[in-house]
Amino acid sequence: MAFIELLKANTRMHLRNRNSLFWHFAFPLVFMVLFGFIIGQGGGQGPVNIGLSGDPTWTQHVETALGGIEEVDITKGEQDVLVNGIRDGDQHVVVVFDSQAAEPGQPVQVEIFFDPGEEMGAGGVARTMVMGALDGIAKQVQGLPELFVIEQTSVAVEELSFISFLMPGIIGMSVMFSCLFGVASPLVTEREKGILRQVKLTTVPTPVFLAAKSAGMTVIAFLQAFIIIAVGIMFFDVEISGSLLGASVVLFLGSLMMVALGMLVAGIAGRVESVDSIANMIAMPMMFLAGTFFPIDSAPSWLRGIAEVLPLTHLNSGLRDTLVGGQTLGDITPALIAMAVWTAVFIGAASVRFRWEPQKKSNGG
Amino acid sequence: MTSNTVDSASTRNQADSHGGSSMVSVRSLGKNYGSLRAVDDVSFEVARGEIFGFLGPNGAGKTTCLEMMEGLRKPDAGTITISGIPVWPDPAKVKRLIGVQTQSTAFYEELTVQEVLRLFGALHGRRLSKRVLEDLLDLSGLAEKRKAYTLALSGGQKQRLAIAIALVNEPELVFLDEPTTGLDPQARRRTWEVVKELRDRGKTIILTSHYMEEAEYLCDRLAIIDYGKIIAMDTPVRLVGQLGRKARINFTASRPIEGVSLGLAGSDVGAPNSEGEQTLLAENLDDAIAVLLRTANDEDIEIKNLQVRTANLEDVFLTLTGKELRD
Ligand SMILES: Nc1ncnc2c1ncn2[C@@H]1O[C@H](COP(=O)(O)OP(=O)(O)OP(=O)(O)O)[C@@H](O)[C@H]1O
Ligand SMILES: [Mg+2]
Repeated sequence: MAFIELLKANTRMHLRNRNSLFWHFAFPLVFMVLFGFIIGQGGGQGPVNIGLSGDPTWTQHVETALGGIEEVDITKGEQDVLVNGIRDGDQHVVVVFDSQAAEPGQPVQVEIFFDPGEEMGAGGVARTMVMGALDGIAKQVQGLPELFVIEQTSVAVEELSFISFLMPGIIGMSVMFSCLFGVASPLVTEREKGILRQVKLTTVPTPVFLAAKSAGMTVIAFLQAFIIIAVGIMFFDVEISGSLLGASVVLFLGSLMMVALGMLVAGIAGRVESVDSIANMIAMPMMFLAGTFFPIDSAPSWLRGIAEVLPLTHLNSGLRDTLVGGQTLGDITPALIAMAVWTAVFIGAASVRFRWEPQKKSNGG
Repeated sequence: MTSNTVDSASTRNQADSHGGSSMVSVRSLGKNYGSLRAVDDVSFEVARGEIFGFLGPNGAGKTTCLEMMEGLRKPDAGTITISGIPVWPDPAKVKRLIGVQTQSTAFYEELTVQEVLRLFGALHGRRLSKRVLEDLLDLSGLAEKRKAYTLALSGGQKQRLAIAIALVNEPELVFLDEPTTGLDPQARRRTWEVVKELRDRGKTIILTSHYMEEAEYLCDRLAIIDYGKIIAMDTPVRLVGQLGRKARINFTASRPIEGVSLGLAGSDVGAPNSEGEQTLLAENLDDAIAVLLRTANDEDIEIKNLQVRTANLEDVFLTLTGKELRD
């Protein structure tokens, strides 16, 4: 009964506090929208991928023209395979030359496939490069500016597929921030204000008190996931493929793990002022290293080694696999085990550090 | 746990001999913070139904004393039993018997008054019935504030909510640590009424205070504590009585009264001040008044603005320690 009342009280307090409402619900959505538009459509980093197909003479010319540029990656192959590559994000632009060798002096048919959704990013860069190259070739090789008859075909790529990658990461990140801060700050504040000693004077067992706090955060975590997924589906055409049961188990375990980490932080932090810095010091690097916004494949291997074991990495990958990766509960067992281990470690360390009393006495003469 | 400080066997023996009559029995209690002896060899008994007060200046050791009795702070020496049960080494055993209002009162800010009461009821393993809840709200004068967030309560209301929280488990013994500090006189009186009501319901109450008028008004018995030691302990009336019938009498006479003419031993009448007011410091109030009025009558002097101030606990404290209660 104490558990139920505490759970009710904790959930109420979080939902009544504007500050925490913002951090729990508005903040992740802001992230999703911003990253969705900025990274998803513009400023793509990394190489520009250009696929070439058809008449070998002309493809060779283009390769010669562009191959020397460092950021350009050229693939030659079958037209169908390459065009599908645009859908999968492997190619930015595919150039296909009519294989029926034209008479010298006759125009050459060229078809350029591109993704209109990528115009602001690497796709646009690639297309500009290709057009420039064709122009140069026409003048240089044939002295005929009108050599190529260009037809441009847009390839319908699943809109904002980047969001599908992003969304589970946003959920993982929000659960981390909410659980970590949502437990650590209140615990330390309650300790400093003497609310914890009021609780200590009651007959409620400590594990029940803490479990109710944890359960309150799990409720918040599920609300967050629900809202973020709903927004993803409604506004960003995210397609859910996987196992909602699996995702629920990941969420449950993940929130427990982050709550336990929050309790540990509360135990380490002496005063209210230091809680946020400690929590941020843990959460911020983890947010970037755990592949929340982008995969960290290009990081040095030692950093990737660290990233692979981080608690948030397993939460993110578990969510990604079961929400958009088409995997089932059984497929993500390693992530679940890793989270369970972290949870046990955090609970153990937190219970050693747990204190009811403020570090320094706040009243008295 | 060190067993040399708290000897549970001897505690139980004491409990047998005191358990029946007294609610609280404290023997040779001591607590050090480093080299500071915050509580030094404190012993006292509190009877059932009594309001017992600790009166002392800031840092005297009142809160430390209470916290050891409440099970929040482990004593370095001495024993405490509540209703015959030793508080240490296992304070959980007395949790059901006691209700505590701690000195700093803070609550979950996003909860309403009645939600907080229900929550603390639940933390004690009780579902507060509507009747019990209403009673607590009425008693603490918070019925109208039941749906207010605790954040929005005034200082006095907060203190009374803290008292109500201390009562959710229907304790026999209630600790109130400075229940009225920082309150205006009106809010203070309101809290006093709550405390009196608790006494009428048969609760035993241990409270601390800086205010001598509060201690005088509320407490059946008082311990005056300074530098961790009890320097006097008795009923307020008898504590003041220790000072004898000392009094200060102010009056304005139509003609100045000569001190010698009163013929009172140990008394002295000062010359009139600029407004014609004279002051008589009397060893014995009753004698002084009688002589003053007789003299005035005999010599046909009219006495006006007669004011009498008897010695109070402030004077007791001053006499015992040579300093004022509040700095
Ligand atoms: N946790 C602590 N660590 C060190 N010293 C302490 C601690 N708690 C109290 N003291 C010191 O012990 C002495 C007694 O403190 P205590 O709080 O019991 O006094 P008090 O009579 O309740 O004072 P006040 O009227 O200001 O509440 C003070 O000198 C105080 O500074
Ligand atoms: Mg105190």
